[in-house]
Amino acid sequence: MAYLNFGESSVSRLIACGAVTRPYVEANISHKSHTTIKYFLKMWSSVSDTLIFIFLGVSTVAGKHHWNWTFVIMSVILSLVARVLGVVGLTFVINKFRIVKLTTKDQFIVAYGGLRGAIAFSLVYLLDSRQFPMRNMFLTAIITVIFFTVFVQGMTIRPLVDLLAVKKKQETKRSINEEIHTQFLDHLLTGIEDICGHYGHHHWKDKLNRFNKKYIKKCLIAGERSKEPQLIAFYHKMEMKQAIELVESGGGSKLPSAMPSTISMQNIQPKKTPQDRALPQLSKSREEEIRKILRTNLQRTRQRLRSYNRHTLVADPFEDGWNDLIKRKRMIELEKKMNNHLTVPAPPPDSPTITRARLASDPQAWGIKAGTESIPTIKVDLASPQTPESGYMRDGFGSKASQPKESKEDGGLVMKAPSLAKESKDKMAYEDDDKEPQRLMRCLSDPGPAADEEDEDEPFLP
Amino acid sequence: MGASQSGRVPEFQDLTDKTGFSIEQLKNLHNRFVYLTQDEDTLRREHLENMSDLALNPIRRQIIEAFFDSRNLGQKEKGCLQEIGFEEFVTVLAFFKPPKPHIAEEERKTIKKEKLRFLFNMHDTDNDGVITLDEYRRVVEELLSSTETLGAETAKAISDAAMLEVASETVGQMGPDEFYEGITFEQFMQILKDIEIETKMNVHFWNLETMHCGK
Repeated sequence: MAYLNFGESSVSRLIACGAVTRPYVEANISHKSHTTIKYFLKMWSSVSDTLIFIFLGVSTVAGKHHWNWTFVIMSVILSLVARVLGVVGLTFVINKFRIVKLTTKDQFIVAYGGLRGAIAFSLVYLLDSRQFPMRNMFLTAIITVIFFTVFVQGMTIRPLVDLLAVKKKQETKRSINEEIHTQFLDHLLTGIEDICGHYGHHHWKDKLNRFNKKYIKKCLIAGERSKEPQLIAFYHKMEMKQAIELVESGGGSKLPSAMPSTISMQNIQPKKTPQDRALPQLSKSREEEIRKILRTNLQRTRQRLRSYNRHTLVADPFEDGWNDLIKRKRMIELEKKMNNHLTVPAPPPDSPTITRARLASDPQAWGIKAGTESIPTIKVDLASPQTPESGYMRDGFGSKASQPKESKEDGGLVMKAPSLAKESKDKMAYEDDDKEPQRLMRCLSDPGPAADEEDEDEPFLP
Repeated sequence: MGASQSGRVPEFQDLTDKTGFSIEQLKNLHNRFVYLTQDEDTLRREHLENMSDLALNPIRRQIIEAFFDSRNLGQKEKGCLQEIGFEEFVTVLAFFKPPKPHIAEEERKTIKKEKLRFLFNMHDTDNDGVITLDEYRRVVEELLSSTETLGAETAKAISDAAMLEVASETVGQMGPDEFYEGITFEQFMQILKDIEIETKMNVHFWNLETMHCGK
């Protein structure tokens, strides 16, 4: 559908097609592919751009020029005027429909930002000199226009933007609260519009979204990803970012800057009355200590995972490593709940290099070996890769009789007693965050069951 | 209809001053009100619940509640009304009026505060002035309830992370034994200050001719 003609120019057709099909394509490919494609295309576009400008330069120096003062000056002036007229006219029309109007300042910057370049030059160059005897004059003129816009306007626009204090695009990360509320607002406004009977643009947007979700996404996006709602996807992304930050922040025990406070989940959980906690608890301070220890170890684990860390490239969210992490974590959890609570304190945090060396030489330290003979009831179903991962773990727990320590963690954290509810792949990803403290303590002191040969890579859920 | 319409103009005049809608908009809204209530005098919850358009909205319960919440209607006592008249209907809708383009900074702040207050009231269902974890959790659950692949775990995790964030940002340091009661209105304002609510939370009332009135 998107391939259909979207206008006369093939360029605009291409752009429209790309814009429309992009969300579906992106959802279908893995994160690695996405990164690869993105940087590959960036490289290509850079190369093409460079080639064209080399060509431009060469033809400036070596081409036949026909300089005509009037024509050239008029070209420059008229192209500027045309740009301004276009911008002003369109914003006049658009502002009628906007609450936040585009101010003169904005319009000026938009008009000023009209740089001519490769396309203009190529179009002129392709003119046939038999039909256009004045071609050389055109060429000269267009080269002059290009030079003018690119050098003069291009170089001065940055100081102008700073000078005029134009509002720039917000670079800040969106917090999850903002995301929740943005969605909430969307629904709210749609609801109010419905009550007023007013088919405003929220109404149509909502309808389009629903249509999109119901029909199109089912056809075009493979597998379960079609169902993943935006909020969950956002939550994933945020967690990924935090995890990456953790890795990048090195082996130190400082937490990512997103949470500089000492508030942990404990503070937020409502205090349970003593009757609720049927089982003995660790003291809170001990909990805190343990959690801290676990967190530092978490950082060291994540360091070990492959991360491609260029300054422009986001560290490859260890696609494989993530799954390892998750498997390992679950195994750990399993282990932990089977045995009594850990007593072995972790070794003091090493520097990253030492850690890496240590871990590299002894990969199995992180692996989880099979040590579950003592617990006959654990049944880990490794057969089908598509079953909800955490599902099988939970089933294993549920069958066990006594879990002396399990609700201690539950009390302190968000974790609940293992439920037999089927959980989708989505959930396990941010259970990570909650169970993060409980994770890999086990690994250091007592390798658990091997989980590395479990199910294969899952595609990254965007 | 002419006679009854003209009889309403004086009361519309009061409403104009109170809510900021124009007479034209008020007339259209009144038509809509009459359509919704099927010619009765007051609007009740059932009228709104019977709307088919609203059925697909995940937070429709809260939206409907918001109309009957006496905090939004400017009344001192807390609680909800069972039925509302046209005046209350319009008062609630006035929260969604876009601010005029050139207004002073303080006025903009006031408007922003009012809108945020409306949102806050929508979340704070037990009227205690704080959004507790449970309430927030319910909000997230409802938001995500339109998708099938949701379990309680998801909503819990998300809402917990959200609360954690709010607490971190607003309170800063807290000992492990202190308990964070919930989000107060000031904290709510603080965390949402970056969303420009006064520009986003608006419905265009200027084009009310597209309303469906009477059928």
